[in-house]
Amino acid sequence: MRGPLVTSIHTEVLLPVHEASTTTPARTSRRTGRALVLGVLTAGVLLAACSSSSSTPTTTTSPGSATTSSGGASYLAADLKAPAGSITGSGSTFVQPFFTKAFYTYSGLNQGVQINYQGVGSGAGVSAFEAGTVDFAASDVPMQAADLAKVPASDGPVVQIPDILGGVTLSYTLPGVTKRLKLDAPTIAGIFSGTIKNWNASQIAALNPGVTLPSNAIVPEVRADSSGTTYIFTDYLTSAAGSAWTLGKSKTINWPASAVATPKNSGVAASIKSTPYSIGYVELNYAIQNNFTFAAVKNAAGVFVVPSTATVAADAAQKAVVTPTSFSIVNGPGVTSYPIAGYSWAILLQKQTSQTTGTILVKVLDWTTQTGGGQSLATSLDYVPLPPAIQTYARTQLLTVTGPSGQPLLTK
Amino acid sequence: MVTDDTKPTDGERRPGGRRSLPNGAWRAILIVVAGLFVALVVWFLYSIVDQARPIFSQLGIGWIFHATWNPNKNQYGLLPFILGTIETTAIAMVLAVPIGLGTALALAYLVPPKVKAVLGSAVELLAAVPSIVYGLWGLVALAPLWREYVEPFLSSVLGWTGLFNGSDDGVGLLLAGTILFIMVLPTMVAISRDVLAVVPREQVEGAMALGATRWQVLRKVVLRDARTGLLGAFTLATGRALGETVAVALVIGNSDYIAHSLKAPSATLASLIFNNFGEASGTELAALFGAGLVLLVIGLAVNAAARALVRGRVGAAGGATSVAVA
Repeated sequence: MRGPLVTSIHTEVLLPVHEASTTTPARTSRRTGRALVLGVLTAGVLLAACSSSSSTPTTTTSPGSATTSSGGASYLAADLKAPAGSITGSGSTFVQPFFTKAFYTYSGLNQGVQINYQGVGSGAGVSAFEAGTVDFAASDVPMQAADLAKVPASDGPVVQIPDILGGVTLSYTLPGVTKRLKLDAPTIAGIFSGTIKNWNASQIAALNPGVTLPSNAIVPEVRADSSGTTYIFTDYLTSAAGSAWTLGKSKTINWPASAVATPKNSGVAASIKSTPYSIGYVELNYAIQNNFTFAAVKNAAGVFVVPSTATVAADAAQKAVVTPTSFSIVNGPGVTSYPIAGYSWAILLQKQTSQTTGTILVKVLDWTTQTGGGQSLATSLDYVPLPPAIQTYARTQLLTVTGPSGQPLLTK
Repeated sequence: MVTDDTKPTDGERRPGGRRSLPNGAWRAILIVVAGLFVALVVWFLYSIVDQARPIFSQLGIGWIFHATWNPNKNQYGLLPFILGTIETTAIAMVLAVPIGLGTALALAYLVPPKVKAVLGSAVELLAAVPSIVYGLWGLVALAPLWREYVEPFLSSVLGWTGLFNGSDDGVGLLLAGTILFIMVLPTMVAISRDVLAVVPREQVEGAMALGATRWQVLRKVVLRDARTGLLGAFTLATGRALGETVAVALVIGNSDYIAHSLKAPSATLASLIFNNFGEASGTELAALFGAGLVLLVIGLAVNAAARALVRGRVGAAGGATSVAVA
């Protein structure tokens, strides 16, 4: 899945106010010391991208007294009011750093609520949801008919809402070239299907006049594991590259033999970093946090656009209505749109079996998907907030969720 | 590890004082414990076979040896991964056997006790490092070295063998084999050391008394006597190399094609399962369990080959074995 390499990090959201700061390792025997060094090593290399998720939230108002506003519509503390209890979710690792921070902040505002989210990968998260072992799942591609058929009929319909927006960069390590490269879909397709083999190939040179390109062989870096990032990237190539792209769109691709595949976003990031003349597709937040150089990509309007939270948002804004069956936003129109982007989705049952758990769930997800709530935290983590129309869509969907008695759980 | 009485005598050697259970009770307990173990293995095998069943009922058995893995087109050929598994393990063991055995011999017979203590704890430290750390280290630290120095050097020296064609990518079969070598080395050294240490003093001293040089003693007495135990070390180390997942996935390049060079990216059965398990469902999931079965079969084959080798060599002389699983 899109996300850090350690897939089974247990993200337990604790109350942030007093306890969290005192949980520093006080008891450090020699043996745990060694383990700690290893752990820090691992964490340092791998989770650099998620580093900001561990910082303490700045908003720690007590519930019932104030509003949490950081731009946009204010989210009233009264709206936050949820019964004490805990909910569990699992799935996408792409969304995990965002969820960790958002749920941590929410628990700080509403101290009776505990939210456990485990980034086990979208597919595993969906499986857990189908088996009924979690209250919600997160997936980078919404559940389709075949997946939905596996949910027991007695559980009733499934509600899927976008929870965050992400962009996919083409990040590269190209010694000797300082000017940002420009690429278009057919060229990217050529590089990743192995037909464009060297950096000074005529197709790349034609897009980058005035840039002296090395003759070295291109090392395409791709994801080894099944991944929503791969889906978005190949969805874009399928939509924009025409006949130059023949490998289809999927979470797993049969890459040409020249490609070097590494598991997870962080694995691909580490591989690009350590391999000169390599190029790979990496989530925007990973690319920014790794200080990668990434290409400007030609969009549907014919303009070369550099990926950023603003240009990804511009692309998403072009499609006002997304649904679980019509969710692709790649290659959107508009001169400022960065064309390789996609939503991550939260998945829950429409009819909740527990009034308490159901109420917490819809409150948390509503807060997470609204400006003034969780979406205001997105930019600081290099995620792209949901456009207003999509936030409205998410709320509309959450309003349809009912408790065991059939009464809506969210009233807004 | 290894106990010093190589032939466990039947009871009666109990340290005095405490009167423990009668032999019959001991027997019953041991049968239950061993039975539980057997049941566990059977249950494990049954679940894997059961999970893999859909792919066999759909595609028979020939799919295993096809060369194309493409779940999008319902193709689940395992040949590239079988080869990758065997190749990486072979690289690892070719390096680990001489170096591991040499280190073990040195630890058991040559180095002074102080050095022995330091080396010994270094071996144990290496054995305790989680495999993902090895993988990361390989990807971040070794891959650039391999790309810049090791691979160009091997290509220029051994290029004539045809094994080192293609570009220097850093990641690939060679690096994966090297990482596996580093990972199995502690197993190899620790078990070999213990096996070598229990070679009877009398034999060593007897050989010395007959005028054998130190090297002759090591080769003709110690290694010969410890042969079965050393093969046990080899088998365990090979098992670890065959089944390693995450470290290999990080440094092998994960190509779905048969590699035509030791420098080329490849994949192993274990890395295939690791990379695809999270998202697999239906036939693909069954195929991954099938890959697990194939891996088990390869492991069994290695084990059987090692046993056959020992039996053939030792023959009726019957050196008593004393290999215990670490």
